[in-house]
Amino acid sequence: MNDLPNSGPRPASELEDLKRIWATPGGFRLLTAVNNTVVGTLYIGAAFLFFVLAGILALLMRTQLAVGDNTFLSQDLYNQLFTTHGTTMMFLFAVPAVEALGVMLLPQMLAARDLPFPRLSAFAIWAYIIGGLVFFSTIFYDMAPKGGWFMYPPLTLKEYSPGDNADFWLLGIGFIEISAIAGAIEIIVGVLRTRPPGMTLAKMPIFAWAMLIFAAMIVFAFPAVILATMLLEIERTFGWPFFTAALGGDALLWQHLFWFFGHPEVYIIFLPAAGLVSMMIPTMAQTPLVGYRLIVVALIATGFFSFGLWVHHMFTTGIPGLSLAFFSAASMAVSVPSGIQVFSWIATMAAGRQRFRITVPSLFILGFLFIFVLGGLTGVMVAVVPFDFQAHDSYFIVAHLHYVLVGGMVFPLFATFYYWAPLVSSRMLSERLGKWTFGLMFIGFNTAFFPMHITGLSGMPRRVWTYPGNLGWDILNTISTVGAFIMAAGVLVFILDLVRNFRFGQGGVQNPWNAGTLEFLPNDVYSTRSIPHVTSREPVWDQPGLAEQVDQGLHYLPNAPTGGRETLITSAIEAKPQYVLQMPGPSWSHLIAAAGTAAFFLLLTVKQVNIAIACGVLAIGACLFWTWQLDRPSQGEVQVARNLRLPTYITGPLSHSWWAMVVLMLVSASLYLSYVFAYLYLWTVSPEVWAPAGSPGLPGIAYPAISATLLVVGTGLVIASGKMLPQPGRQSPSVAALLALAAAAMVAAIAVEVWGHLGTGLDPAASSYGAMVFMASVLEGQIAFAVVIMCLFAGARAVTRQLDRDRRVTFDNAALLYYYAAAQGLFGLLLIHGFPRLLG
Amino acid sequence: MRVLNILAGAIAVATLGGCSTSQSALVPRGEQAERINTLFWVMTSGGAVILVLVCVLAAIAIFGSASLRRRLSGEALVKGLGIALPVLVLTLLLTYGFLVLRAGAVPEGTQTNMRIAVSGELWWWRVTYTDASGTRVETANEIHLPVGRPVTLELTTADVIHSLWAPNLAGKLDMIPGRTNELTVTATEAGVTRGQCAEYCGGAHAFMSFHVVAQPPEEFEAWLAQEASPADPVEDPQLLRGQELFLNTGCGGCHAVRGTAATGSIGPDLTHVGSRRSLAAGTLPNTAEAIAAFIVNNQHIKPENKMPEYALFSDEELGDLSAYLESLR
Amino acid sequence: MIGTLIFILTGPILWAADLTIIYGAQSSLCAFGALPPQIVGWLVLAPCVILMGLVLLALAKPSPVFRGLTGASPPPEQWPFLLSITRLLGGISVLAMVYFSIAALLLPACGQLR
Repeated sequence: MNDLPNSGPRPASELEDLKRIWATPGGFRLLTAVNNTVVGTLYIGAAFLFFVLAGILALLMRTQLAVGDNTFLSQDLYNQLFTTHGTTMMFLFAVPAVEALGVMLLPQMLAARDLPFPRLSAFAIWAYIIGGLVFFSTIFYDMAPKGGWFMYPPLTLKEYSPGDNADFWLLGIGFIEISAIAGAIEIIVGVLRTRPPGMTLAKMPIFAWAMLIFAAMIVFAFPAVILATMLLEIERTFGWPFFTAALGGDALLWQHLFWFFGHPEVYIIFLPAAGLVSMMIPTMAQTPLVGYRLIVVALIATGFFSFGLWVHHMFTTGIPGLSLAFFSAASMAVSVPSGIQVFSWIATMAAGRQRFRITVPSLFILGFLFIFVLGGLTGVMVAVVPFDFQAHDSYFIVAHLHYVLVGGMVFPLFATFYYWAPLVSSRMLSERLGKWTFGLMFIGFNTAFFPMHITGLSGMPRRVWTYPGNLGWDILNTISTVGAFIMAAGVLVFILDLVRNFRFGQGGVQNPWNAGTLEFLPNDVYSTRSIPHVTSREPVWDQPGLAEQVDQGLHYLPNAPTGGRETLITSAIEAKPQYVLQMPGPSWSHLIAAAGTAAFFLLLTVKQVNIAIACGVLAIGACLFWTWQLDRPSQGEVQVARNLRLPTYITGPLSHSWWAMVVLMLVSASLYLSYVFAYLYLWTVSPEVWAPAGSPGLPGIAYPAISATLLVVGTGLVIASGKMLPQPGRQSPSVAALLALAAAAMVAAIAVEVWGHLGTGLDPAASSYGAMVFMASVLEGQIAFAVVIMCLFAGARAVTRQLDRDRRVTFDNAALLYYYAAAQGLFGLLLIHGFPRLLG
Repeated sequence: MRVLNILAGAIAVATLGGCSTSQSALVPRGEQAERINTLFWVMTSGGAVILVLVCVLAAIAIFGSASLRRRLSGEALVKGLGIALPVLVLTLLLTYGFLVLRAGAVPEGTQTNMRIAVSGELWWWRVTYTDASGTRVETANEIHLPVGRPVTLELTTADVIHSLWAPNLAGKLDMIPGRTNELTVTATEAGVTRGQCAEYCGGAHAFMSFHVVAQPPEEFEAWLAQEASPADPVEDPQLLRGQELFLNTGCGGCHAVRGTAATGSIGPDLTHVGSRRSLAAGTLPNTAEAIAAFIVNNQHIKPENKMPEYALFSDEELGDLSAYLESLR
Repeated sequence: MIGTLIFILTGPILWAADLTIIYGAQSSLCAFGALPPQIVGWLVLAPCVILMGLVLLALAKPSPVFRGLTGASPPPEQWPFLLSITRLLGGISVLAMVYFSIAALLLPACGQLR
């Protein structure tokens, strides 16, 4: 026992402290909770609600399509239904559901007390719930978007889609994407920095790998669609012609940006689910995963290559054949990793000393395996360009995508519900009802979707609200409709099971499946009593007595040395303990901020600009109030193990918040790169509108020179103020003044740039070139807005003695974003003023 | 799985046998569709074998004897069946796919192909032929092709993105604002098949169909000559009344009937509307009753279409008008 | 950390560079009709071959690459894991680039092929 990090028995007061500090707020104050089990359960519950709601829409559509020439639904309603179904399933169910599992399971699997930014995840979840519910409700009052979940312009431009329907998609979904990004930042930092000591990358549970890659993919994929939605909303509102061919825009620009997000999106949904399967199969086989390394490779390769596939959604747009072939080739290459995973799972099933246990989770996994392999095979088929000429936009694709997404994600999700329910419910779900759920869903799914392969090749296109009854599609469609209702019955049985058996709370069966990973250690509101030292991939199997040791507080951090919520931060690769992170607890501020943000975007949609701005100000105020409480002062070094004292405050590249800022900068950079792509792309399509020949010439070189100088001077001011930070406990108005000046310099730089272009008579609404030029300043202005607030915020803390030489994370974050914004601004000037001059 | 293949084939045949026109990729009537159909069956058979293999292996992994299971339990399985086999199969399939794609290249001497301009419009197809003398002949919602001759379709759009899909003939190709996409098709046998817009284009997307009429070359030439001619003068008194109504109530603002004062170009050219196989882009059969119903009730029959409903006619007038239009052959 | 990440992703990063170069070059050269299609075809093939060579070189001599990227010697404990992941990812990347090359060899550079 001597080699354990701590010695026992531990004083009883430690456990009482933990229970008090981590207590879930009661009554209506439950809304203020931030602990990952509470908000994670809420998150997954909301996602499941959207699954059910969007499923009901699907049943309505299947009823309409049951026979030809049916008039159960009207054309307009059907068009709204399929748009809302797709949008809800992709944005409000699939991505949030897997992100929710990350929030719920990751801290448990990593034996962390919580994710590193608890209020940020709670904020993201509330913003998503409020925004999602309002978005979905548009279907009830004829306001739902009807341009398809892919929202292709020009159909979605004002000319062909008047009314606010499309705006609900653009603003509502755009802002839910921001909440997904917030969650992704949280997950990246969580996986890399809150692992238990000893859990090196090579010992990380596969699900943590999957979530790390998932989050990294969100960071690079979502900005592309955020840019696309910004461009489309701006074109709808102000008429900047990004997508209008007559003025030098191009409808295909949207498709490139949308699918650069949209294809990774599919793997963003699938990878976490595959990670869950890789966790459950070893438990059911009672043996470690065969080919752990290979699976890690498969996950990384899938994540990476999925960014090189987007054009396979555009095979029929008339792009040259060789371009299509590149993406066909990449689509082939990306199916190798899937093969690796499938055969690793089969090998693991075979590898157990005893037979693979057939439980409800196993059934769902086997169902997943069949459906996913079939969907993968049809995926290879549609990756072959000429076949896709026929299959594209037909019911064959409807079948394929549901095989991949329902098979690849929904079946593993239901396995997950049954497998991990004991973590948050004091009762397990019923094996008997679970088998019914599985049977009905599996049979129903295949009955509904298998015939669609044939329906599609028999010529039925997607997104038609009705079809002639004499083309031979009736029988196939009737079968599909019957299947859809059987599948729905399965979901209904599951809901029944939830009602009968799900009871939120701890204290259920301990480790019911005899799993080898940390989430099944004894748990309470504070997660595990102490944070284990890990020496293997399946510590619970390989480290005998671990559960008891952890529960007796014999591992790291068995208490709350700072007297507040805290968790252990370790190094990213080797997981060596670095410091103790002090974390915030329950609060109203993030909740108000979430409601305000949602209200801001939704009110903008319905053109209530003044109230929207008021809500936006409220949201920013709440955010400032919330962040004012962060960046707590150091509590000195604390004892986390017998021979280990760790600091409670850290700055610079070791700090978790530095990592989060870096990820945020990556998000901004990929947004800007998408913009650069769009700029160059539109130039290749319409060089005739580009300056100097096709548009008013550029302003004199003095304008960008002044603008660049301002950015450089501002950066210098920020650096200088960093050197002037006061001693602890001292006030520093001069730092505040310098930061304010730096913020002013950035605003001035943008103003000069805009002023210069206005002076040449360039009109953003006249051509895609003008629109692109001004868009650079819009993007820079957006970052500058955040920079100004952060600079003033840091200044305010300098004046109130909360910012000094040691306690400087607030300043560091503001400075990092300033440097990024300045760099982006300089790059933008180079592009906008350099590229047309290069053309001559 | 093989059973399913046969089943699919049987359904395809039933589709063709059960009704007059077919709209199916599984019943190829064009060269490109034939190549893709072969590709489809090769891939489906191969895929079925792989699916069965995975199912059998999974079953052995779960229910097999201890020795069988041990053989499956190593990384060798993953490297062999999870990496080596897919790489081999995918490489072959990719190459095959590229060869089929290359076969779609327009052969040398493409300039001599006959060219037909097809424009997608909300929610119908404007089809323009250029005859031997260079005259442009406009019609709608029907593409006539001479069998055995490559014909290049010039695809454009007047508004949003559409996609021309005649599955018996070839794969689909989109119509994108600001671009002209060219699809070269060769019908392999005479007959009428059906096609439809495949890219969601809002509103009445479901009612944007067309017919493909593949004819022996002489028959096609004759048809084109007839189509190029103006409408025959009307003599029958009922038809004369119908024509008068057509010209006097503003129909000509949107529709053209060559040989009369009606020269509108917003909606479909009606010069020979009576000879077409359907009304309103495949929405209704082409009968005088259907024409009458569409004039009065088109927003119910094809919601959101750009033609207003004309309720001003008496039953008798409606009969005259529809008889006139039906007579335009 | 960043260096290690780049090391692991050597293959995929070079693959991404390859795709960006060949797709960017081919689609813009075809759009402008600046060069004869045959030359465009060779311009596509060349980066594929060069970048494949680079990946293979990196896989053959991983230690210097690691040192170059991180400025540190490979950590003995993590090295086998890092190396095997890097090699496998590199292998898949080379496969994907071989596929690009097949496309460039078999297909005309600019035709719509419809």
